[in-house]
Amino acid sequence: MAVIYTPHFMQFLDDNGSPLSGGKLYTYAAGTTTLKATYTTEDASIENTNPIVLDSSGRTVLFISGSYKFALYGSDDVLIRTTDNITSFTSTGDAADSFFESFSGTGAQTVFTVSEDLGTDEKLLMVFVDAGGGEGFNIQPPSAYTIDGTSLTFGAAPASGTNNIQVWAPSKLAAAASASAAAAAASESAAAVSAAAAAADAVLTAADVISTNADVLLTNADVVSTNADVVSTNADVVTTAASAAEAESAVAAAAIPWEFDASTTMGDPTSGKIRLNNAIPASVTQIAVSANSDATGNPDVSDFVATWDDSTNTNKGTVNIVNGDGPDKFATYTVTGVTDNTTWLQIAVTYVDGASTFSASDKLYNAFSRSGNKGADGAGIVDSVVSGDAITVDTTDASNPITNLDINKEADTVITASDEIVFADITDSNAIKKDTVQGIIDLVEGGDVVGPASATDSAVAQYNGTTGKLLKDGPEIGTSANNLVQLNGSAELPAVDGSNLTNISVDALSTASGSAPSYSLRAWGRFNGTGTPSFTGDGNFGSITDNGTGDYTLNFTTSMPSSVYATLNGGGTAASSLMALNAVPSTSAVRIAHKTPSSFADGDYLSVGVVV
Amino acid sequence: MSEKVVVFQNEAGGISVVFPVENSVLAIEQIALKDVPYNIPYKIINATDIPTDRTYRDAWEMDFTEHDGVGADYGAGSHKAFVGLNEKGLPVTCSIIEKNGEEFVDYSAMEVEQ
Repeated sequence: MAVIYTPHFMQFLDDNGSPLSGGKLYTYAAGTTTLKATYTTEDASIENTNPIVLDSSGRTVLFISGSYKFALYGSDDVLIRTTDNITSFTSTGDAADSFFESFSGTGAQTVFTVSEDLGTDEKLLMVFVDAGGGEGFNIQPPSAYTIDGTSLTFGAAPASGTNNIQVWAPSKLAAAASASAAAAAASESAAAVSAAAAAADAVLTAADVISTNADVLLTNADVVSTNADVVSTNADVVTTAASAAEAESAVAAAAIPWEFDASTTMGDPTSGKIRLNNAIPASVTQIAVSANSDATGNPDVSDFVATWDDSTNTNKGTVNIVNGDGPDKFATYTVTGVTDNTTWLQIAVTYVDGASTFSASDKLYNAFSRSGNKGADGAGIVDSVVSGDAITVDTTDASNPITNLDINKEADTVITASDEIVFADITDSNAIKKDTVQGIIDLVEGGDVVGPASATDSAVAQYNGTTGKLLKDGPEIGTSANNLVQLNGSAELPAVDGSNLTNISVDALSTASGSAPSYSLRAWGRFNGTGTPSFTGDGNFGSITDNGTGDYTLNFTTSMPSSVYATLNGGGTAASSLMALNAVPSTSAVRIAHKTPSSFADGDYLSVGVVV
Repeated sequence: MSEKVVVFQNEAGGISVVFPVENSVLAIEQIALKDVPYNIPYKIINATDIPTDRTYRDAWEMDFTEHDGVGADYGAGSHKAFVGLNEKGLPVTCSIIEKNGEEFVDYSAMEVEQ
């Protein structure tokens, strides 16, 4: 159901008091520029055009449903005035002799208990529900609910919200709860008139309006003129206050309102409020805003504010804070980041410009404009670098290595051996790659490759075995562990303690004392000539030839350098055992005879040594 | 003891038996070529075929009409000295120079026997 905004034939006047013939009335949802329908009939079955074009008397028929903002233009499309937050019923709900009660919806609850018996006729009630989304309260048609004494039952559970369900029953209507529908309708119209008048005219009291409307109901002939006077009076009042309201409306367009909280603490400023971290706007670096704006119904704007740092640019965008008192009181900041703390958001900012300061409870309108995303990094070549320029290479970015680095001292000269190229802070041996080192060698044209400063002198450079170019740390020359041994000036090894030559076993080579030289055996063996002749142990003997009883040839694995050698023979355990050569010595073998003492005989434990 | 031995007829008409040392670096054929006197026929037989009763050791006989080879010219009593094997396992020899009834190896001229 819709309710009447003003007497059916609402008349608008121009600044001279003449009917606004051909004027245009735009109707919007309160606080927005979204067109919202009005009606030519009480049951909201026929919509007005939008804008409504006033007739030659500046009149129109106007029924409204919910909260509106009106913008009145002349026939020449020049704005005459804008009036916002026109809601027919909110003011009169406070009337002492009417019934008004609010409830908080849960999204599931359908039955609510009112504190007074409101009868059983739904048409005598006016029920409003704010379904969220910023549209404000909308009156519910009687078909949406039933009333039975104190039980108010909705067909569908109203949305969740705090005090978002309002039930109003004007006292006169309540008293006539059992009266006819016609009487109720008349009372309803009167209530609508009072609401409209109260909303449009901040000066008139509800009682005044109601009495005026009483006149309207009682004196049909005067209805139009009386209401015209009222409207005219309201127009004057509105005109008087128009400058501030229109200024605020202009500021409010596309901006989020928050009420200023003078605290500089960065914390939850509570619903609908905003804080700055410094009382001086030019010193502000952080802003705290509630997740809920101060607009009608305190809508949650946190998701929108959270996007203020979505730009990939360092400068995410610009927020312009304007005091509702006028656009001359403002502060502008660039946004560098946003932290969403669920119930409030903290915005990191940098001051840009501003004028004046803000006072507690000021309504501040915040308009944000987003910066574009950062463009792709260029892949161009640095054209020139002059002396003193610093070139920083991000070695952590493996995907973008330096692939071509040309260094020229001047355009027409090359770097020579006398020029110095300094690589600072290189600690990773892998930082200088093969090509770089080779490039340096090429650049210095055969000059020395200078290693890093080190306390270790005379270190030997080693080269990579694969490429032959990479220099690595080498061992020192000396006589300590892992040192390289260097021949002395006489091509002799340096004196080294023989005890360190553990793998040579020098002590096993000779234990002789004195200055006479000692000589080593070139071959040795001990063999058993009995049974099947065989060596028990040997060195440089490869086989033994059994030539007959007591006759053995011991064959050298590697020939003696000459047959001029001495044999050291040892007999066996037999009595009168005797060992002797049985042939002329040769380089390939030595033939041994074993006798006891004059006859050949096989012997055991026979030993032979050969020394040259 | 090696499983194989080399037998040949010595200059006194008796039978000589060559027993390789254990873990010899030379194969039995290489030992035969090296340790059997030059151009003397030899056989390679199983060591178990050699009698263990040496009572009549000097009376042993063997027919070498059929044989496995003859001693190489770097074998015992030849004019070459065996000095080792090359990387292909072939014998490396040097000439022997006789002087005053003694042999001297001439290391200045090595050759590889095929």
